[in-house]
Amino acid sequence: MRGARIEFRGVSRHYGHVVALHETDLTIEPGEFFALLGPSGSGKSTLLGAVTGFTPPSSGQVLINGKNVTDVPPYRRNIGMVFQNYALFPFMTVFQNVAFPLQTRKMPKAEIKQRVERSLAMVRLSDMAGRLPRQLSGGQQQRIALARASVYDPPVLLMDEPLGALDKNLREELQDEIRQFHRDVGATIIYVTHDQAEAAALADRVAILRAGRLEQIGTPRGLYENPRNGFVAGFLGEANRFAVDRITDEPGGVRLATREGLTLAAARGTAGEAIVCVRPERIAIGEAADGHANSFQGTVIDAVFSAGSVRYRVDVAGCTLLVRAGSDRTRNAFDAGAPVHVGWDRDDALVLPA
Amino acid sequence: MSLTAGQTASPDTLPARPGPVRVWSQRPVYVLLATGPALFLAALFLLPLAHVVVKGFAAPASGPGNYTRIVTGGPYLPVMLGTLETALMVTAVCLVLAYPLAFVGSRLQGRLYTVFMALILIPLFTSVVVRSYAWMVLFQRSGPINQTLVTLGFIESPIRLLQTPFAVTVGMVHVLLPMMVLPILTSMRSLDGTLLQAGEIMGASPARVFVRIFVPMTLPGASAGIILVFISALGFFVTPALLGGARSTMIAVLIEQQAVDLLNWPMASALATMLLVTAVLIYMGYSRLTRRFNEMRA
Ligand SMILES: Nc1ncnc2c1ncn2[C@@H]1O[C@H](COP(=O)(O)OP(=O)(O)OP(=O)(O)O)[C@@H](O)[C@H]1O
Ligand SMILES: [Mg+2]
Repeated sequence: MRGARIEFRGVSRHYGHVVALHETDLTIEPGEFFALLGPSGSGKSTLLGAVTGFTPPSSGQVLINGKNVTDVPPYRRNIGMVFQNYALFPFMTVFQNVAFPLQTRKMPKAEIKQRVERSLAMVRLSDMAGRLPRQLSGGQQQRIALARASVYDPPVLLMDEPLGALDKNLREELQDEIRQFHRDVGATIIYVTHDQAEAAALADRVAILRAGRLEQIGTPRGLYENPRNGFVAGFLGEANRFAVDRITDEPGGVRLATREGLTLAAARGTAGEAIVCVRPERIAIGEAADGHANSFQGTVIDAVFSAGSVRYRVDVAGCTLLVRAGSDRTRNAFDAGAPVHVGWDRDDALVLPA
Repeated sequence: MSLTAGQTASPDTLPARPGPVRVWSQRPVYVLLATGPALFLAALFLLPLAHVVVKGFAAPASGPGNYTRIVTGGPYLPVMLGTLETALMVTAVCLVLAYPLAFVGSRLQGRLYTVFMALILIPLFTSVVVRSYAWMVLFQRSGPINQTLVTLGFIESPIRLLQTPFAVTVGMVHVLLPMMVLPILTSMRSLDGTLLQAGEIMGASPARVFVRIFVPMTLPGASAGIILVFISALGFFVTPALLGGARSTMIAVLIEQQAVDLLNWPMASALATMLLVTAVLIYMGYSRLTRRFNEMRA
């Protein structure tokens, strides 16, 4: 089925002297699952507001399927939206809530009933039709909100931190459902979150926002492996970051002196770049660390087990390094206080602007 | 508004939800704290009230003689009905005026909102007597209202405004309006704006959002205002006495005549008891209705 193409052309938003969103150009492809990721106040909701029309842009245009909707009122845009607090109508039953957008579209009663039932079946809450929202759990309420936002087949679905109010387990469960849901309805989804793992798990592409600017757009993997700068590297996934003081050329690459006093080898880097960044899973620990271009002696501060891996904090010459190692071979390998070797290749050290 | 102590959770409420709030706890501290006010109320409110009720049955002969007189003749029943009618009218006018007024107030921010609240509250702190006298001045034959109407040519000579049901209604609406505005305003200001946005993004025009979402969400405030104004209006004395005169007598005015002018205390007591019972019955009906309503919705 049909999602719409969404284009932002020079869209900006000011509140008095505050610039909530700098001029932004962005195209979201039909049927794409697009995540907006950024810290609080970075302009995610503002960008969504330009699509809904609730916070119209100060400049620029928003196009949906090539049609300029900048001056179209929200209720004529045919958009679906899921809110963080669900925004279910408390005095209407689940059925009435889901039927609401169909009633505004003057659909015949029989068709409304059929569509609502299909929609409730899709979120597996058919037997809750007669309940009031307050008689449902948070996760159930959010699934009803999902059903209500999609029952009229809008080509665009917006979600502003839809899982923000739920606990971690429920969030992960609903992420799977939302992914399935996207496959079922085929709408273009713009999904706002400040949880990078959630964005990476759900989206085809992710846009990272900082202080009202798009820092970088790409697939989760692309952003993780080729961050444009230190901010993106730090925001998507974990990273060991060091401030670079001096860069000198040497055979095979460059040599970096960090502000913390370490000397590191990297494949490339130009003067003026400020951050060197090493992903925790790229760092080898123990015997595996021998023979790398970067090799250090350190002390394990602590080890934390999580699904499939161990996350060590290792003290190296006064700096704390995060190291993630598969837990199969290294289970209980290093206890807190143990002296260890850590090491990584030149290619694993990314030298980036701040 | 209504007590939650007696409510039980509906059977299909999820067990995880907190049960009904226990309003009354019998911890000794609370008992101690409540003793003073309870004694105060018993001595100065319940005892005199009981006295009034008893007195209605005690004289001239013990028995329901006064009540027989009330239902078999005299001005009593018509005045009681007229009182209900006036109270209903006043409540309706208040609602019609207060809802849009509160709506405007709920949109205001900062200083404008402060000014709005001052305009609503200051009349509340002004004596009802003063305000009713002010209306007497306005409604006089030679008063500004008559003068304006004559000057504009709507009427040839001044008409009687004072001592009409119209004057009573206007005066009472003026006094009671804040009691209607405040609960409605509160419900409007606490309304979650994303509900309105949700309605609009689902295709409902602003007018439709207003009717389908805004009004139902502010209904509890309106119903609180309605019962406040209606019950207060039933017992109104000063305004109808000053603006209505003998013609549009309300029950409280009749009670005062019986007690002060005719010195017929037993009859005054019987009438007062009737008014009290009417008000209590109406309130019970109201709270049953709202409770059923609340169980049905949020
Ligand atoms: N009504 C407003 N008046 C003034 N400034 C505003 C208003 N709404 C938003 N802003 C500012 O615009 C900037 C962007 O806000 P926005 O709501 O888009 O952030 P966000 O990325 O959605 O943040 P969050 O994750 O906290 O929801 C912020 O600096 C915020 O303070
Ligand atoms: Mg936001």
